[in-house]
Amino acid sequence: MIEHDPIEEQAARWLARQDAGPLNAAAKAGFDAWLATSTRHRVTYLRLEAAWRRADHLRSPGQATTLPLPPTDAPPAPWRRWPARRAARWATMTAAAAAVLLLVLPLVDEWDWPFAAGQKFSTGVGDRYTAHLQDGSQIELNTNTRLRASVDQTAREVRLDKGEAFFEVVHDDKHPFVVISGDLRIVDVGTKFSVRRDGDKLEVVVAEGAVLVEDMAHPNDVPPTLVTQSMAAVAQPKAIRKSSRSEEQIREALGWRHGTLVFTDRPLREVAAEFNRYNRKQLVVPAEGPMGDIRIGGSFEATNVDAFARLLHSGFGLKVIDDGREIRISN
Amino acid sequence: MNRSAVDLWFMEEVLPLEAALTGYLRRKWREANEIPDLRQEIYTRVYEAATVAIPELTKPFLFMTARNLLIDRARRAQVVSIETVIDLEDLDVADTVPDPERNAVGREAVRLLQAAINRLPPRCREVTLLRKVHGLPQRDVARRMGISESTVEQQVAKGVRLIADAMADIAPEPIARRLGRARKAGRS
Repeated sequence: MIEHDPIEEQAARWLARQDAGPLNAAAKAGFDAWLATSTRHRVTYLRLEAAWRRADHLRSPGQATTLPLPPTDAPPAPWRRWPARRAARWATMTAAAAAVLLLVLPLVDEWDWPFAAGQKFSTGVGDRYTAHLQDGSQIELNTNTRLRASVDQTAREVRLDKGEAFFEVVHDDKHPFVVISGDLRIVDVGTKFSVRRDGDKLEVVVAEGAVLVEDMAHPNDVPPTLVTQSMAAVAQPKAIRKSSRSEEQIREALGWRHGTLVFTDRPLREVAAEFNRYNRKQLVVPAEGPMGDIRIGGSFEATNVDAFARLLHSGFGLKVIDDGREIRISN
Repeated sequence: MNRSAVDLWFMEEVLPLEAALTGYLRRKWREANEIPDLRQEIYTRVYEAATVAIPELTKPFLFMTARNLLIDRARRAQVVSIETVIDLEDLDVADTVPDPERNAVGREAVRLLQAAINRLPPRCREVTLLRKVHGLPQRDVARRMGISESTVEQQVAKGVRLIADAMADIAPEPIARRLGRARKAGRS
């Protein structure tokens, strides 16, 4: 969605107009006057212009392969379905056609869009991102997460390759929303839920509605498990365990959606592992000894590991050595 | 438009920090819908300061301006937890964000940009693809799609805003990943 912002709307119109061709004298005077009205106009315009220019990087002749465009009387919009791997075949097919213009495909090995493999979304360490799908569903990606979404009129499928995400699904009986992660399949039954993947272990927390969790690799050993509101399921190959969660526990589990880590009586060892998902600077707690068992409770900013380390020092009297890459905790 | 030295500084030094700035605002400010407005206000303030003298170090200056604005706003707000203000004052912002890639758009960024274009509404996406990827002028885009030139212009106006917003989410890659595992991680 575009926010309603009259200045940005005007800036975008001026930019689009100049993108069409040079302004005539009268229009140019109008544009200059608009720019001079306030600094806000100017910075808004410059921001859009920079973004529009940056999009030119999609066309990088240095690494490009050139292909002819189809003749102009060809049916419009075939490029919607041009995945890279089919480009070669397509080129052969149209080699006979007179090439009027050059089509430049940058970074051919990564050119599997639009739609070839669905949309891909990813976040780096400490980042979050909300993806809006065309069916109205939303996916919030937590730190260090990667997923692919294929959502169209016929099917709705998301593959979670790694990390954690919160799904707000617009329910549609005819087209169930399916999340696949490893061998597990989660089918929504009208829902808000989160899925977190750690290797082949999966945790599903249902905030609203219900989902069905299935082990696709072992359909005979593990029956599909219905997980309803205020429940969670931990699934591993050949095992799906269900447990109930209080409202507060659900809020804690989803604290990351606001950038917060919430702990109630959790051992320091686990708390450190949680922080390490969100920060490049890693907390190191000795594997042996009682320190890892120190109980931690409270609400912390996920990406502010320094503040947490300071608290360990001032609150628990632990020694904290920070070398910029790691924070080592000791007695 | 005639570009001044301040314009160039703003485009080349300030705007590449937008992903980092947006990330910072998201972490520090609870009202997500106020972030575009805060960002424009920060840009306006740094731009106006630069017309007096262009700061030597852009990043600390930008984040200091951001922090000061947030503190102003938080203090002015009717209800504000003491925690928020302390947290803002506590942070040495300049060290918490990575430097952006200079004059380069990395592969990861290109991929994210492609993803952003994929999310545009269909007609807007097609105009953007033809205009930016295939490099056709607006007039040819109109002819090829069989729509009027003014419709193309409207779609460009819409597309540029959505792309600019998408770029606010394209954070610079950490160096290790960019050089090493980035490629592998990007494919799956």
